[in-house]
Amino acid sequence: MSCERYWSEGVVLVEQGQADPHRDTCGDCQRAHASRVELVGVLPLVHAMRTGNPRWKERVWRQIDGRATVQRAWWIGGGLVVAAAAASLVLWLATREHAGPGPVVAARPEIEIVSGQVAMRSKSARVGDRVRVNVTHGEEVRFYRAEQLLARCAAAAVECELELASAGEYQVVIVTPPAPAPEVAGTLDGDLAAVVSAGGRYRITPLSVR
Amino acid sequence: MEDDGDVIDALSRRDVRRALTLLMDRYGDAVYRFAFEMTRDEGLADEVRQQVFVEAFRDLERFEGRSAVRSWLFGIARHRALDASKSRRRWWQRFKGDSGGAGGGGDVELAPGPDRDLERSRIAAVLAGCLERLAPAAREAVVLRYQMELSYDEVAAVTGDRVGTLQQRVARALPVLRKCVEARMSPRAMPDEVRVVAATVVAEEGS
Repeated sequence: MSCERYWSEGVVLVEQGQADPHRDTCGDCQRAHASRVELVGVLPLVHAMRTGNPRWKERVWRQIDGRATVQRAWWIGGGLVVAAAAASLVLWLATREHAGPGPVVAARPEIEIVSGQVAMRSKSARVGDRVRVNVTHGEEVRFYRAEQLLARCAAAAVECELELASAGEYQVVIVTPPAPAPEVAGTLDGDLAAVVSAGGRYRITPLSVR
Repeated sequence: MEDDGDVIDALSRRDVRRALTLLMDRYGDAVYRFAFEMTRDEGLADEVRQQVFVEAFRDLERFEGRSAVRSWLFGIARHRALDASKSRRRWWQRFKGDSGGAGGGGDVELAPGPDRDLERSRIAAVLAGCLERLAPAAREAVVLRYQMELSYDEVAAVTGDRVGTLQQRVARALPVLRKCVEARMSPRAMPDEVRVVAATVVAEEGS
């Protein structure tokens, strides 16, 4: 095996953790292998001195604690409003249960836009804001942009959040998945069709991000 | 490899702040470097790191231990870095048209002896530039495997790719890196000023 053959074939064996008996008898291959070992040995040194903002941990804790403060203030200050909204939602969900299977389009889920330290109800947001969706156990949240799936939150989660990293038309979909849950293809139309045909339900809310 | 048993212990005591502190101490720099490799933007890498640990704090209570804490963390970092890159539309533009190494011959031979560390640092600086020549998926695999020193199983947990696919991807990338390093470290790659000095020395020795 020549040196070039090592780089085309021998290196694959190394990555796969397989033995390369030929290398033991080939000087060129051994030298090539040694240079590969050196190369990957140097990779941990690449940008080793880069550590970013030295106060990054403070910023993390500030954001975490700031969020907790905002959440507390939100629940204390707006407790009655939220309770009333939740009651309305429960009432609406209960009546919806009797409306028969199928999609319920343009219903209003519990969606908040978090802009900086402030959370608000809105159907529009700016780049950098976050959208937070509060759901009940068993519901799954999916975020789409331009009808392509961006993120999902597991059915076990009761709060789901996404940073709105770029402008565009988003769709927030809350799915009550059937069992077994249909496969998610990643496109809005296809995924909703799969939910409906499997006997599930969904609610969809458009969100415009500028 | 860290087993992160202390993180799991903290979580079992529901001490999420302690768990996050351990993770930030242990992986903060690595997450930053990974984010930087993915975005090639220091400010963006800082933002990504912050998002990763804020998100980790939020989700640590629900961490189910299906994967190692480290690969779970890098999985978050990967998603946030991709989101950040996409949002600024830099990802594909930056790599569009780059497709492999430059020419050159011979192996990368590192001089043994006291200059070895200096030589490795020099190669590391060259490699930093060469990594940019890789396609995003290949660079991600190489960085996670050999810069972050994750096992292939862990890399697979982060990227969602099959181990065999990742091994092939890395095996194809290493020769590209080798050739790139050779090309950039060869005398022909020296700046003109350096080359002229070298030629002068050779001429003087010959006379």
